Amino acid sequence: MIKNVLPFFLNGGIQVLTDNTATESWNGKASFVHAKASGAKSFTLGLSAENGFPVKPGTIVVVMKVDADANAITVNPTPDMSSEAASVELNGENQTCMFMLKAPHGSNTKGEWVLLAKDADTTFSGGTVSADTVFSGSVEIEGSVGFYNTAPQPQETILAIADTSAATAQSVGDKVNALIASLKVTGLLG
Amino acid sequence: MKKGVFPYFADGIQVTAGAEAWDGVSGFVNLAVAGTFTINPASYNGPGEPVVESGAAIYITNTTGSAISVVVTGGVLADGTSATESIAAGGSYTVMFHETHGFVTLGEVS
Repeated sequence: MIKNVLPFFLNGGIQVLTDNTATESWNGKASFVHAKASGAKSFTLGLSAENGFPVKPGTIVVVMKVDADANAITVNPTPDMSSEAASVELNGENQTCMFMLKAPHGSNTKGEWVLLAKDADTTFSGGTVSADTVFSGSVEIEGSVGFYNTAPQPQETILAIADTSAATAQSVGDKVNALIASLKVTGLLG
Repeated sequence: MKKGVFPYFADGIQVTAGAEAWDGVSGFVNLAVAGTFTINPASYNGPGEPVVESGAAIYITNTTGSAISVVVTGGVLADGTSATESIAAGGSYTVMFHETHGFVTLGEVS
């Protein structure tokens, strides 16, 4: 007969993490965790329930970052079924991740956590955007810029501004004019 | 009031060795080798059970270094058509079979 794992939430209230950088562990009785931190902080999901008893397969734990600080909170499920996703990073307010403990299997005698769902990151750590993209707000570029497969160049170069120290004192209007002139020279603007 | 559908994961892991179909039994799947993975509700759900039971959930994790396609036949959210989901390296996908709606997506991690 096939044994089934039934997902369920514990009736153990909400575990609220301390607003500091100390690593904290799951209390083994709360299915809902509110995480906040004053700096980089880690939260560990283990295999011990309240009073040291084994966690029952099917237990669900939802961790939510509840502060608006930029501090990332790393959730470490131990052990984790997926070797490629050893931890989950929450970096935005109200961002959540949901884990479930599956039953023991093979050499694993106490079960392992699986990540069922996670909100999308609020920061983009790099990659390729292949489709047309619209930015409805302001765009700030802090690094170099390249157009049409050209090697990225410092913005001062693209703006044809040689003196970067002087550039900091220029008005926004001057920079825009320089950009327009530069685009006209390169034929990108008629 | 209608009876609810309670999700459950059958306690077993299917570890793929390439393109494979769901074995109809395991509630957990480890995509360990590149190759499309196919889920069909006509799969067996254990001896004497010809089709997947309502509530049967499958957690699929991609432990390879590249994206892998998961093809769900029988519909996701009752659209009645095949659905293909690309699972990113290190990502996961969880679906549940509902007797009325077919396979529905419970969660995805990319």
